[in-house]
Amino acid sequence: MTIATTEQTLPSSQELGAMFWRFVLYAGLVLLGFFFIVPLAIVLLTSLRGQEEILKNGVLALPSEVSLRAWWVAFNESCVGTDCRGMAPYFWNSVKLVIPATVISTALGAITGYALTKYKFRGSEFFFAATIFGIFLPAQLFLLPTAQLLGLLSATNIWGLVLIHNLYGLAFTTLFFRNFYVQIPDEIISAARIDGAGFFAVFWRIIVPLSPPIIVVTVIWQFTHIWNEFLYGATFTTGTDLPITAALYAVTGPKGGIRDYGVEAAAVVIAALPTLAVYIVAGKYFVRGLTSGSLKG
Amino acid sequence: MSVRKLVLAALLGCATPFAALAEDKPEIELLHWWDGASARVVQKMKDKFEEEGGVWRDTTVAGEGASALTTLRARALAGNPPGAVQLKGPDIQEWGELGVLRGVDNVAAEENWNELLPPLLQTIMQHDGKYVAVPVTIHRIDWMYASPKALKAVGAEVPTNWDEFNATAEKMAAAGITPVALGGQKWQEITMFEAVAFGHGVEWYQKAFVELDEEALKAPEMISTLEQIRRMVGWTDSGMPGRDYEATAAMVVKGDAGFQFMGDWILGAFDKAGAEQGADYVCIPTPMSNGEKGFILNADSIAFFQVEPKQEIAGQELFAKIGMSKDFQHAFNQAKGSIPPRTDVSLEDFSDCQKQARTDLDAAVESGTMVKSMAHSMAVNNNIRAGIIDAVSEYINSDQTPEEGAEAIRLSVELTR
Amino acid sequence: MNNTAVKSSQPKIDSALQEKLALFVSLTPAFIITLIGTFIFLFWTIFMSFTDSTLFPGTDLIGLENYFKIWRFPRWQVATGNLFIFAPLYIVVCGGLGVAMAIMIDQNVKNESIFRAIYLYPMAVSFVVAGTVWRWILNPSTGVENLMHGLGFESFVFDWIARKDRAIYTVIIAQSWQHAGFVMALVLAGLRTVNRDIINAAMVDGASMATIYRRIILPSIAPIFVAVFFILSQWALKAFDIILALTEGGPGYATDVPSIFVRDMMFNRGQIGMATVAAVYMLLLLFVLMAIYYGYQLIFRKRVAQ
Repeated sequence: MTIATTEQTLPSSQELGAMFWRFVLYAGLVLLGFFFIVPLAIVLLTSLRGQEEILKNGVLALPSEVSLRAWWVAFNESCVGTDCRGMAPYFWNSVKLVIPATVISTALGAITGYALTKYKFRGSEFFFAATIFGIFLPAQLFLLPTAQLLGLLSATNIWGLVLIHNLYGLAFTTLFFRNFYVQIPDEIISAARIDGAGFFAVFWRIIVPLSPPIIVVTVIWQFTHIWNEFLYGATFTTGTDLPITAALYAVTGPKGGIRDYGVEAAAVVIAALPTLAVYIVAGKYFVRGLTSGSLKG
Repeated sequence: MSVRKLVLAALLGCATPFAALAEDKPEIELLHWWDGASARVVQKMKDKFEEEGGVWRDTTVAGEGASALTTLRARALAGNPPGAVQLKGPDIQEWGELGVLRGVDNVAAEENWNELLPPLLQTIMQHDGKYVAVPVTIHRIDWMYASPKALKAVGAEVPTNWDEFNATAEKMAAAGITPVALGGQKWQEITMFEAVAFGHGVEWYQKAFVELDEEALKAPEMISTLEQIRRMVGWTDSGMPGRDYEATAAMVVKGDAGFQFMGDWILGAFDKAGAEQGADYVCIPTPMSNGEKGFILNADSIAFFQVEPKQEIAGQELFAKIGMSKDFQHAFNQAKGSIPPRTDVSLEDFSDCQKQARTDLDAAVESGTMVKSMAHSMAVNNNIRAGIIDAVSEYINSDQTPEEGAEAIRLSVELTR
Repeated sequence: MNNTAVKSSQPKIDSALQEKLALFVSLTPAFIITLIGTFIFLFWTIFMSFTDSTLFPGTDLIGLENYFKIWRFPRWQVATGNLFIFAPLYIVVCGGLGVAMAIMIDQNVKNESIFRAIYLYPMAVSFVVAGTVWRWILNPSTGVENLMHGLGFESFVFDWIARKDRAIYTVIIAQSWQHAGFVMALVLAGLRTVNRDIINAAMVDGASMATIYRRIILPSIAPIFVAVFFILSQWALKAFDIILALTEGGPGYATDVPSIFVRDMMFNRGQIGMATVAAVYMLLLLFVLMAIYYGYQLIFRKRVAQ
């Protein structure tokens, strides 16, 4: 290839052509944006409408007047079976579940990732491969033994779910931290060790202060996944212990009664709000987690 | 085992997940699938239980029995079943065989259940000679609800056999009325299928769906049943997918639809919607091809699982007592559209449909034309039932020929053997 | 403290021992979790698939009987068949959409970050949320069809979700909606790593933009496409919640997939043996995928090395 540096002045017909393609490009982008934004817009709009109006005008329509009724009802009064305390208790269930599960699995992932990169031993690569093997396996494979394990521990409740999310979250968190710590030069560590710092001292004084970027990514990843998890939550907890996704399915899923779409829409938004908020506030880290979490392995 | 337990608990950093409160109040956790109008009725049960000083925990799994059974199985596998579970027919025996049910014989003896219950229900509720469940309702499945408005619009009478039914449906279709109101949920589909099958011969139904007789499953009655189903599916509307039964019932009330096939819990829904019997809907036994009179029985019952804490055992006994009490059976069934299992409850202030159900039930028992509901888990266990439901739902939602449909149903039964 | 006292007296040997001990302690949780949560559990599930377990796990071995019997279930045939319709189409639609979006966004678009954010947000919501919303949109009586009727287009029909032969495509729409943004993010990250000089040079040579993409840019990020393919096919295999929330596997069992079949068999029908067989078949499919992926990587790396 030759590199020519002569400036070219484009003929106007070409300029017009370029403008036309620009127009097509933006039209396409906007159309696609429409496809992605519409479902969210629908739930938001529906959640602001009254029940009669929805019955009269259908689910897909603009609100004729805005009311927060559905939000109030969904949060405080909607029924999961005969239990009409709204989504609120289930929302807090998920909060109670997601915090310890995220914190513990992140901490475990950090220490495991550190040990596997900075203290290599014979078989450490195999250890790592075995740890992250679980990433690929479908959850269905673990349904039965998980049920039995929870029985053994008599933990068919939120704590049981915390345990489950540690069992199946460690693979991801270890992967994240391991890939991050590999990039930290070993020299820093050896210098500290010569100064007499032990295993945990190095971790605490050197590694942890370097870790905030990957901690943010991991926490966001774990938070989103645990908050959104459905299969285990719906299978192993019942009644007052349901996490929000399972409660949402109970409110919007198959049932006997007449549907109140406004309330269902508000319930959908309530269930989606925390993860959407994380996405909006920390989208950069969210994307980073997404790409690194699924790429390697 | 205990080492593993310790290690994992320590791992979690929370060795005491939940400490039971040392309260002496009787406690019950009820797992059930009653929702919609029926859920309001469960409230009565709860109120009564709390009135008697108990602590009530409610675990509803919306939808139908299958989803509740999913939860029950998962929890039983995890060794933590609820104290009381809505469980029926052969499923009671199946769980009984596993030794996980607990008898409430002291209550049954004290309250003389043997005197109060019809013999059939006695055998269903007992395992190994012990009462392990309390019956709370008797539902009729072979009801057809017709819209008087729709009938009037085409100048037709209430049909009593399938030829009349089909002729009327044709007229309704021509007049722009949806002849058959059906919600596209598997349990609604199987309910309609069962009513239609029953309408093609009581004895055949008994052989095919209760005894699972290989020959009966291939019999001509099966083909004509499926042919009739195919016609009826053609008479449904496009709003069918996933529609709940209450919204479906509203079509009948408004006169937008002609007929709906559903158990009598729908009376509770009609009631809730303020519909009047006679003006907005009428109940008629399912059309019968040969003029027989019968009854498909579906009795709701609550089975008791082995539990450890003594408050929960006390809760089970209190529940059994309340469940069989005259007051409760009266109030619960009146509101639910069903009839009380206890034979000594007066039906004076019940609806006409309910009164007729009682009369027809007695007559059917007398003449041997009462059968147990396959669709609602009274006749076969849930494994077989789920297989048949899959096959029927597939038939309804595809263009299989009746012969293919019949073969699929037969195969589904064979695969459970 | 005791530790420091010991350390100062015999620094070398003891600190090495301490290091080993620390390493051991720090890896113990991961070891236990992996051993139990992955390997023992996996072994147990595979073992169960050779038994005749029904309601509760039993240990009566019946060999491969269930592995053959499962193929007689019409529903299992549909479920596996669906996987082979669903997976390729989903990969093509979702992958194609994602790549197209990435290329479009790569054209020095104004407000790029806004478009990116809009395309990607579905990744942040749960499958149950996505399934519920799409069910409303696709259901003829509440969604698009009803809307068009309301606007006066009485003959407009869009009832795929209710049609046995079309319902599986609605699952593809919903899941592609959720994942296309992710593909875009991955591909875009790849596009940004391509050396601009080469592109500029090609432009100066008079190559059209389309040619540049086809001949230079896209081939250079081939590994990303392979990764996308692998991730999407994995997700296709695992698809569960979204189908449950969207169609419940219906109408009939038209949108059933192995993951739903497993749960239904295990808990609804109480057929643990059959359910675990289905789960093991899922595992085998996954192994095939992994073999393809790693096989490709091996070849690719070799080629790069040469």
